[in-house]
Amino acid sequence: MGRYIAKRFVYMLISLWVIATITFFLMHALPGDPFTDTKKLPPEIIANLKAKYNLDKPLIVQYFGYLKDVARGDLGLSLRYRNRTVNSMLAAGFPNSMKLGLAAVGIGLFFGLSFGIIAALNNKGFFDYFVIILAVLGVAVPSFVFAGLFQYFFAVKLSWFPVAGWKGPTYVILPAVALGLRLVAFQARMMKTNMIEVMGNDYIKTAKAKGLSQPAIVVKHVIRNAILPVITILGPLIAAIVTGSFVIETIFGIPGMGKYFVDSVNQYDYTMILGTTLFYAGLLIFMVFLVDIAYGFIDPRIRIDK
Amino acid sequence: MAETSENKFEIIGKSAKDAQAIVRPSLTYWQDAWRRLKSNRFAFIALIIFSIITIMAIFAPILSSHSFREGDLFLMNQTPNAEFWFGTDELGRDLFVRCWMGTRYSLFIGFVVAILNFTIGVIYGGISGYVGGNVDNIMMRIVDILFSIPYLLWVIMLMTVMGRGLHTIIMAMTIAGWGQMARLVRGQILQIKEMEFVMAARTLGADATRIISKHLIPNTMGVVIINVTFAIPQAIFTEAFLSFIGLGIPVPHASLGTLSRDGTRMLLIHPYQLVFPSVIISLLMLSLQIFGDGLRDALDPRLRQ
Repeated sequence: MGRYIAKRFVYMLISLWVIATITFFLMHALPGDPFTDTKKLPPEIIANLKAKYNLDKPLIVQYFGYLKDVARGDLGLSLRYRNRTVNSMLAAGFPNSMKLGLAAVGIGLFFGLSFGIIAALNNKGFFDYFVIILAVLGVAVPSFVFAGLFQYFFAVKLSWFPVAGWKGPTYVILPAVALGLRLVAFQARMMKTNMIEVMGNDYIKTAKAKGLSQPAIVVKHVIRNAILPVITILGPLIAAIVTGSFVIETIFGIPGMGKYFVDSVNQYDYTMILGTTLFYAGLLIFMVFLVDIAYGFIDPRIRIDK
Repeated sequence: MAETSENKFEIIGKSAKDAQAIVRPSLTYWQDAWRRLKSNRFAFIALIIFSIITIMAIFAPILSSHSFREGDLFLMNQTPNAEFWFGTDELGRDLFVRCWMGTRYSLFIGFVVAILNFTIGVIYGGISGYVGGNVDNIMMRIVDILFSIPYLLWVIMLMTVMGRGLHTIIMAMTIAGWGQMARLVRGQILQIKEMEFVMAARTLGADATRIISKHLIPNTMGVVIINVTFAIPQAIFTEAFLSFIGLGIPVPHASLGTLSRDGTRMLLIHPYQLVFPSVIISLLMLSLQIFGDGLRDALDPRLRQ
């Protein structure tokens, strides 16, 4: 197990380094420098500014300086706003995004898994078709359409929830559902297929033959085996939640990372975009690392294989 | 009593010769797949819906008398009527034409990206899988590391640097997207190259070019084509997402993504402006997904029960 974790960890570090390098060179591939299009500045001031941002040094020195900054967790400065750094933006937005993300993952896992389990036990029944329709919609309809519709019906027409904003617990529900819906659809479909596959196995017959009750079989044997593959796709799904939050936070006006990120995209704030992207990439790679390790703990076959 | 002897009997059923005759026309792999696809009702309906959308995207903008880029400011935000079937937008442009122009862009992006990913993936994955050994190891580690970055972040990063536009969207989505196809093709090639018929071909003296072009690549095509059908909706989805966060096709052009974004802005006042583009995008996604599922059943007989 130790070797497995160490190997995953080294992979994670290499990935992070590659991303940091790509971000750095992309940023420097942009034409001009940050000060070419501002008001006419005397050459001395430009020289001073360049010295402040380390832009007067050779590229390779800048590169190592940048790597050092990134390793210390300093992700860079905004081009549009003075005194605004990527870190300050993340500090302001991250807690809100995390609340929203956790709520969405919670909704996704809870409803997704329970829908999948009920659909599998009720194969070809009413609830099964409900889950199939849900899965199809979740795949076919973009999340911003769902978000818009929710806003229109549940907030404007029925006024059950606030339309937009971020002032209390009621403000979380609509965006979290809109964000988690795709997760519900995926999980439900996957859980159902896995359950049906597991139920066809011989050890389920054995359990039945030795007189175990139906609920005990489902809880002890079917669900525990069927849930394993669901965990593997958690990594990509968390990525989907995070990127989905760009859209959802913008629509619902939530002051999270996603909204700031979209704002900086629209303001052509290059350093901000690349710095944030780096943070997101790091976050997601770390998540995938955690999921891999969790999977290694849960499923002993993985450790033997590798 | 009459004597029975062998020559008094006559064979009236099949003769031994006829039993060996091939009665049904022989079907190639693709004919067989098409036959199976036709019998799958859902996939066939999906194919029809997809064809209708494609035909509309090609012909509706040509045949319509309205322009997608010029509007009439006296006719802003008209609800759907006989003149403007889908209504008009906030600049008085006809939404019917704009929706189908948008579909055209979305489909174009979807197809081009899928084909480019397919080409790069087949070449890279093919080499990696066929050569094997250390080359394979290194080539796949490169893919592993490059594609540990989430797809959308990759695309956003590249779009930021390359600027907005049709070409940059396609480029960014290709650079960020070929890895999956490469992995898939490599896995297939590794599996197939160990099979007996490849060994037979080698024993008969076929060289590497012939084995690759006549045996390995045709046998991976089924799985690869299925994945291309799924790559098209993914590309359309990604484009819509990029448009939504402001990295899409620049105005006055439109894609289904930019139209939906404009629609959500106007949702509270003019809901019809979101309905049409989002219905088209959903139908498009749905029909491609279902068609892809049907194609998988038709092309991969191993999955059949």
